[in-house]
Amino acid sequence: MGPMAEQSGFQDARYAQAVTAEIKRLSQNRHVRIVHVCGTHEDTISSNGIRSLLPESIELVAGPGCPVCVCAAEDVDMAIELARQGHTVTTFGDMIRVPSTDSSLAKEKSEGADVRVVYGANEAVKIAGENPNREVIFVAAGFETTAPTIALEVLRKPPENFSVLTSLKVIPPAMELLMNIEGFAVDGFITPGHVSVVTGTEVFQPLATKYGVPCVAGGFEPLDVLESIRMILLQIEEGRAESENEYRRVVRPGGNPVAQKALSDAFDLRDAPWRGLGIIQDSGYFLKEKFSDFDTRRKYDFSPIDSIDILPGCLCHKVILGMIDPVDCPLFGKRCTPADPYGPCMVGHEGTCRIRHENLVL
Amino acid sequence: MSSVLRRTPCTLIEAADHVDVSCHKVLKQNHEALTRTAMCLAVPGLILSIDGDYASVDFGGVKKRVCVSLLPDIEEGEYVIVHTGYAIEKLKPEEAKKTLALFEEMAELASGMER
Repeated sequence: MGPMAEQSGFQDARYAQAVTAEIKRLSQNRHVRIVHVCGTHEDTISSNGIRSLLPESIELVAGPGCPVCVCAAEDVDMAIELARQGHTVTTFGDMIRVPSTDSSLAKEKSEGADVRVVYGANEAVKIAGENPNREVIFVAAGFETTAPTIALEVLRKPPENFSVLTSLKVIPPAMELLMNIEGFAVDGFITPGHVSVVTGTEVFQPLATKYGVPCVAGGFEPLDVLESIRMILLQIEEGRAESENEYRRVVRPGGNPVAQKALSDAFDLRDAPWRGLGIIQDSGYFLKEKFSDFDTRRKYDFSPIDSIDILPGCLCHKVILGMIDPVDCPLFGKRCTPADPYGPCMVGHEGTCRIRHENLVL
Repeated sequence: MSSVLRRTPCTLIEAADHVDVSCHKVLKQNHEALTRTAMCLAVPGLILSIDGDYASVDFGGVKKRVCVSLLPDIEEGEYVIVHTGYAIEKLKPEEAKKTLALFEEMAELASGMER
């Protein structure tokens, strides 16, 4: 049996029943709010009907885990402006449809701008190499999982016509923000498995200790999510608040040291704007000064743009924080649909509203 | 909220029938995963050959060129988790087995209690 077959073991119905029974036993009808902070977790949860397997007293909420959703409008607006100026703007697929203050990259593309979707940062560098007469900008949105790939490319001395518009964020400060919202209790976090691959599980221990909140790094198969919930409930039952690892087949406790070194070589952590959440202290990766030549913000002089994060009527900021369910937004499925998104959470495969919309009873 | 969900636990039950490595479902899932660009998504693949910073990786039949610079010790025949074209970590089959053994234990205990 190879790893692919083992992967299927993490979808096994008999195991799911057993873990679910344990969850029910441990929950004891206590109200427990578990928050995950990863769009891919929400995808697993929604598409497998995980919520319907849980006792009613357990609330499973999507927090700020979608990189496209939390990418500040000012970053998207800057990318749009560069596209309008005639430069080549490259980015991940989900990013081009993100509605910003008055446009989106997709809209600019349809009007003739050179906007290209790439699968990874290396493809953007390749485009720059093949087009030495064009300025190629890579709009890099993502969390700790994605940031090392951008660091690698910058450290490898890309062509001079290549630059990165970073919108790279670290997740623990956003989790801490949630802990400080009055009236929004978090009883446990499922921490993102692929962020943990890079950072390790130890980075969540200070948060677990400070707020007495169990954290469990979870994988992305249905059983991974169920087992993470069981591990959180067990911690609550035993009065522990630790950063644990459910995704042991991939995540090392100390993370990936090569990725961490690339991060610290290329970036400084500074205050960063999160769409709808405002500026969070030390939550963004920005290129170090010695890499200014590859930093879009330093390379192009920008007059400030009056960016609007949350358009009138949009409730994405409340969805991002897990304060309301997407279906409770009056625009959901009406003015705001996957085909014509009004807010950022309806755009990508990791957007809470988009995922919920795709899993509705038709 | 659960009432609005289209796909119910039956997905899990269906999935239990598909445990073979060559099965269509895994192939399809991996293919879908590869063609999507969700940013924190990462999928497992098998290292076929390594050439410097890059490796040829098999995702259940779909071959892709993947950057392996973040895993200097990686070897042919190992499984990796790939994110936006970069291998970010090895998949450790022995750890997967341990977790599955724990599930098996729970399942046996549960069926024991029913009897």
